[in-house]
Amino acid sequence: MDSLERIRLERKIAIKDLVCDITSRRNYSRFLSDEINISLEVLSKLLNKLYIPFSEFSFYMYNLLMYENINEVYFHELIRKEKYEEAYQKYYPLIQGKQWKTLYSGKTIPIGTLLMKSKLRLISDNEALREMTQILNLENIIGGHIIDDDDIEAMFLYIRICGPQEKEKISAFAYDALTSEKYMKLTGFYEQTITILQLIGLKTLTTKAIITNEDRKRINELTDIALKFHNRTRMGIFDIMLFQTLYEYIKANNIENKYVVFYYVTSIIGSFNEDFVKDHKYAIAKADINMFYECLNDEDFIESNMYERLLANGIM
Amino acid sequence: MELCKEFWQIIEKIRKERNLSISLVCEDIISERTYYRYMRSGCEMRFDILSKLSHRLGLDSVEIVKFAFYFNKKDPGITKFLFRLQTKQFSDIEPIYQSILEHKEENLSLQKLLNACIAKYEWIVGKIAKEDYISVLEKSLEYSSAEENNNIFILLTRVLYYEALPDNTRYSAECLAQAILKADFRMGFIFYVIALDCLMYSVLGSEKISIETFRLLTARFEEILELVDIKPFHMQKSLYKAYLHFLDGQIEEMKHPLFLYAMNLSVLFGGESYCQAKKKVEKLFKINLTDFLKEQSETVAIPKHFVFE
Repeated sequence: MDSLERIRLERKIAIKDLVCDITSRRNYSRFLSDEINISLEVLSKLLNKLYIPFSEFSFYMYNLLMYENINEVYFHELIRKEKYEEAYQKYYPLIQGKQWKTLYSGKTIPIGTLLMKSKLRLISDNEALREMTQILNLENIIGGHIIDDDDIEAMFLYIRICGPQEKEKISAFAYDALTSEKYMKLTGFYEQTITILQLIGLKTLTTKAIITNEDRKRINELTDIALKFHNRTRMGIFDIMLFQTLYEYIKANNIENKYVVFYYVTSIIGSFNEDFVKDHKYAIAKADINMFYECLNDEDFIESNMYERLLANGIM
Repeated sequence: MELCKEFWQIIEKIRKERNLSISLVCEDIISERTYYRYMRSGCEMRFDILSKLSHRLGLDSVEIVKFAFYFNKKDPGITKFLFRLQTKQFSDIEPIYQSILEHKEENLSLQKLLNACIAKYEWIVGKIAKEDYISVLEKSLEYSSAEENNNIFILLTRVLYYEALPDNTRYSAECLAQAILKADFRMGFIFYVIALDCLMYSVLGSEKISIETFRLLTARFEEILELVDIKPFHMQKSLYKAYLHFLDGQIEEMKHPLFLYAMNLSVLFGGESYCQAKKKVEKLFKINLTDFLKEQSETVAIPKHFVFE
């Protein structure tokens, strides 16, 4: 209600004009003072008067929640980027002992905290894993058909520490969720969550000790899905994570693919997120730098559409 | 009522999917009887109840609201259409375009904006002539008064008009810039950012707005993108930052944002969109884009970010 009132004041609309034919001025005041709770129907009608769709308002409120809990957001971002020391020094003291409130408060932040502590050797891996397993409730997630932000982000952290059996289960879940229509996509940040799910699928497959032909088929399929999705959404930093995974995979498996090399390099040197790429040197073979320049000099390639040639040729 | 019914159905579907009993979901929120009654009748739901039930199901109300609007096919794809039109990314636009054509928007000013955007798309792909696009713009702007600048849909339609006819006598770039700076960008983000980008890109290289206003617009662009991670918009922001440095004679400071813009232009864009943008930037900054990219990669970007194995 505070948000609605803030918008009303900013737009200089009188209460009587806003509530006209919807509710009484007295009730509006009672909504504001939390004396009574507003119904969705009334809220929706008031928003219509302000030309604000209900969905937009709900995101506005969520953004407000993010801003009000910005330290939780920054902490999560650093953990996702594997910057555990910085997360521990800068943001952990600010969120420790507080009630977490963002979309990631149920599983991701608690699991992120445990992961950070185990990576910094403040607790043992076994201890972290034991607690993480309880928080995540993996069987419940993979047994259902729901894709939700917190579950997916939490799994993305969990695969950095869990054993091969859990990884295998998560890998199968990610593949199924990305290739099947039966999942309910209950996400506040659809593009981000689906991208993370693609990264989970690719990361768990490409880092397996033994990669089978079926795995290779799936890696190609998920790469294709991820590239097409990213072509539409064009979100930052996720391309770095995606191409780093693919670059490591082609190097480990002696696959030559100059387009993967090119996009790996450009995702890093063209990153708008300075924080993400600072203080970190990415590994690359010297010969691959020449491949990058070869692509940069290829006018036809540069004028082609995003990922066009990589999509046409595939990864192998 | 329809809205509430939808939310009840979704909550029930998730409850079943997650194998949770009604008593567990309702505990300390509402009685089981009320739950059944609401679910059957789609009765009015209080916002606090939606929020509490969502949390009990391990979700946030925003996830349920988004699911209801976007995945139950209620969303005609307005945001997608505008985003693709702005970034000239047409590979999957046909079904979205068809959906927008069929959509009847209740909000009149939004419908007029959509008419203008449909016409802009049709002009870009060669379905109609530019004159036809301008006549749709003029029709969309009929009867709109000056004080309606606080309506983001009307403001964006005016910016589109300016973009199509920069020498018009109806809307000046400076007035539109001031209106954008005054507008509330937290609601209707996509409309706001497109209005901002269209205007700034249109005035690049001209003297249609003062450097100070351009500086304020660039600062606003930076502010609104702080928590938004969409590359084409960050790319444009970098271009405007580079241009400001260029105008200020700060050539060294200009190089990094210009490099980010150019590198992403060569990755994200292809075909005619790439060629047009490349031509504009080369003229504006008096550079050869390919040479600039090679030189900056070699001397700055690669040594800064990579270590050779």
